[in-house]
Amino acid sequence: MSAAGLIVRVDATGDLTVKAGDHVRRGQRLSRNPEPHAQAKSPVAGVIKSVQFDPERHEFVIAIAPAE
Amino acid sequence: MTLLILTLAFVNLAPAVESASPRVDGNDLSFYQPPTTKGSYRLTSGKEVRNVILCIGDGMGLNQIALASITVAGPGGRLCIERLPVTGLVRTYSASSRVTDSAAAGTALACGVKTKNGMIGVTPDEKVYQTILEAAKARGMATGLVATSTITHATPASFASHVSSRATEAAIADQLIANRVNVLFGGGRKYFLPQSDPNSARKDDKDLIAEARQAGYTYLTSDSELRTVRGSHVLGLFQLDSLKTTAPEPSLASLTRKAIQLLTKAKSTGSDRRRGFFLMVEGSQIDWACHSNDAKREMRQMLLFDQAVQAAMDFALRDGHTLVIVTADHETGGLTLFEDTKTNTGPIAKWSTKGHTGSPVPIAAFGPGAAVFAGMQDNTDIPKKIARLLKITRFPRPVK
Repeated sequence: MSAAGLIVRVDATGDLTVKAGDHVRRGQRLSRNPEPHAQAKSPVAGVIKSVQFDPERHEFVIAIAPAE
Repeated sequence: MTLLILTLAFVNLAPAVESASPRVDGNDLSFYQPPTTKGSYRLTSGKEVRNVILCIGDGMGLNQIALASITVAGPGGRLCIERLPVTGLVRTYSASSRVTDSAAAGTALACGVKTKNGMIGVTPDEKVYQTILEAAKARGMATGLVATSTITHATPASFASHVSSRATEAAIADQLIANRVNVLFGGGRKYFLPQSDPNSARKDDKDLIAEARQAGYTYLTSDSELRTVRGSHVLGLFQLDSLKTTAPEPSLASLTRKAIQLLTKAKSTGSDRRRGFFLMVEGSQIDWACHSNDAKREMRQMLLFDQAVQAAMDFALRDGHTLVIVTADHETGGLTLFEDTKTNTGPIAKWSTKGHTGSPVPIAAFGPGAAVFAGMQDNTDIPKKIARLLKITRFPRPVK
């Protein structure tokens, strides 16, 4: 799949709170990381375009299409 | 350590990350033949432990084993792992979280101490602790690391390097060679190439492959080279990144068999008398399949790992002085199994998370000393027990 989007990378130890197709608000939590200081938040309002796992870096790669 | 990187630019997404070559069906399980015997291997007693093979299934909880086992061997069948005679459970929490990552768990399994997620071979205050591999080497034993990830990934790295961040794989590569681990088999060639090479992931001019050769390593990259290689120090890097786990690469079982063959012939350090070996074998990509909640891929990786355990067991049964331990660093995916009542066919996998869980993981053991791994234990207990069986004193201990 190829899609334009804003990329957020987050360590894969914790669970995600979003999936592809979800609408997110700016500042909304994207993951439920066990380390509180490292919980990922969406930098923009928009739609989650895709979520992929990057095994080399052990991270989730979350693509967000910003709202118009 | 959690990394959060925001790329504030619009980019095209890369294709989904694949762990298997497109040239074969990554879900095909026909390569695996389950054991024809369901009974447990016999307990061993009264013998001295000379060799230790520690097999780690990354992300392998009880249901990761059960799903593969029920699917290929039926409800009454067994994988090789399930035939080991001593079983127990392992708590896996880290110093920073009830849910560990592979770096903190690897450090617990290697050094016998808790650390924060993301840290390798050091305590949260960055004090360096000796690993069980380093302690075995200091005792004159040959040592080896085999993985289907990059050989610099968190689990193998935990046994022969000390860094505050698992992401520093080039620095880990330096330490693996400096530590003179006899056998290093895995992926991650890009961390051994100088930055002048277009395939390099290093940010310096160090040619670690050339340095390894100068230090006495035989370097190889293919299955054909693997078949004929000899030597006391062998560096096998079969991919730039992680292994594809398909032909023409050597399988994890082949790598394990070859590592054992090389280690039994490797000269000891500092003594004329050969004093056995310590080998860590990781089925790295069970975790990756579980992060994707991909049951078929999980089973395939699980069975590839089971074949490697079988290779270890084949040697241990012949040798009589080899302790084989199989465990996991953590569980991934929160996998549970349900009956499909409509079709009455195999188990249905249900996942509760895309991440890791804090569930205890299984441990199984065979060989002299195996009984000490029965029951509930902490992951930091495992290298301490190995040290006692190898008569290694003062473990765990910080390195001055």
